[in-house]
Amino acid sequence: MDKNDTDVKVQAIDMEALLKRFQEEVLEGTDEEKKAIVESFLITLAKN
Amino acid sequence: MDGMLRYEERIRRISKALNRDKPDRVPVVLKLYGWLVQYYGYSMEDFYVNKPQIAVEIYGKAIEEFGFDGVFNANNVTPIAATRELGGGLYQVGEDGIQVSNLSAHIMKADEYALIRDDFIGFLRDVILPRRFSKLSGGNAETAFQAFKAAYEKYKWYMGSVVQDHAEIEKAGCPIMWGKGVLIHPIDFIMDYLRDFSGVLVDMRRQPEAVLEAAHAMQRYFIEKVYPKFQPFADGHGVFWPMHLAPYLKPKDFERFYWPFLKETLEYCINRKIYAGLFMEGSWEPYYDLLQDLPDNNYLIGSLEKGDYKKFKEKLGKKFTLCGGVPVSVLGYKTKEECAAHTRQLIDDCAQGGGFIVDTDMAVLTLNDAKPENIKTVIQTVMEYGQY
Repeated sequence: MDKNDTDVKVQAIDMEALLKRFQEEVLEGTDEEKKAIVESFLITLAKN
Repeated sequence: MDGMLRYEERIRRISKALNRDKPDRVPVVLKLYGWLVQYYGYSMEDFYVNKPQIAVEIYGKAIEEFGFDGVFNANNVTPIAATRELGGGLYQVGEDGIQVSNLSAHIMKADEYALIRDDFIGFLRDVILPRRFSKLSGGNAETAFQAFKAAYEKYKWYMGSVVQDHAEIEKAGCPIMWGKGVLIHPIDFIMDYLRDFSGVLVDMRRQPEAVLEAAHAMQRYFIEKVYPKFQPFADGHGVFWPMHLAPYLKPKDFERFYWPFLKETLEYCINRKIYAGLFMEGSWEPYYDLLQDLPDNNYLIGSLEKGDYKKFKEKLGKKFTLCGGVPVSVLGYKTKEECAAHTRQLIDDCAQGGGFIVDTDMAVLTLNDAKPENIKTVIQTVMEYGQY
């Protein structure tokens, strides 16, 4: 049996959907402003 | 003299050095970082994570006791409080400050450069963040959302405190010079956060075009979306640029992979009157000739870790304000007399004509790195011997 056959598959997070909801529910401002905040935060997280 | 008057006196001294005017004396702007945290008995965990506001106490005490003219930056903009909410992250805090965690920076695969080229932000969102943070790596979507939201709240709280704290520190008389934002070299971004040192060097050899295409896509994003947020800052304040890979490259690789992005970004800053404090890791001596292609300007501050300072000043004094000259090893291991002699020689070599600021050659991270009496001796020597 291939090892992968025994691995438990974990559902990947749909990050695009997560961020869409984040923009709608958490952030304030215009769509353009929200997009800029999200992108800036993504870069910050990628660097940390 | 109250804090604001001392601030103005110090900022005037630094600004004159940047503008190649002669200040009353050579300024001293230091990178004491974690050394100050330990010297005043605070915990690194509190400074970097739980209580960012203690920076006000630390720098307030330091400017009183040591009387330097300012700090290069305050080194407290790493949002560990936020990344912990997501599980993981590149950095952790130990007794001796921030260190790279066991999680390697090597989280991008060699065949993924085209993903950066095609959609840099989408690549970070869909590929890198789920690999870096356990709470985004899979499982329950609601848990991931709540973690992301909590991380953002912590980030807002932490950075909000840092901005407020820096204003308080300056009111107390301590200019925080070059930390208003961070410039990023795309090749350093790949090395520091995606492929690690060995990965990027192998990639540059095996798939140079793929690396360059990705780097160009990142550079375009930084120039069009990130750097326009940086406006000219008052009083010589500006942004920070830690540069890492350059001294480890062969000259022909430097010219191909590093120099074009470096030059474009520096010219961007010069043209927009944005001061940029560059931490030039390692020795840049092989590139002194190439750096002469930059236009004469007053906006670049070169904090040089190694290399010939006198030669740098002679060759590049119209391109960079030279900042540095005091090795941390001198502060840690030499006598006070040797520190004074080193400082006098440094001033003789580099102070003529302005455009020079005394600083440590690299960040002083822990209390063991430097003796307090040696730091005081260097500052005192500059005050006495560094008069114009």
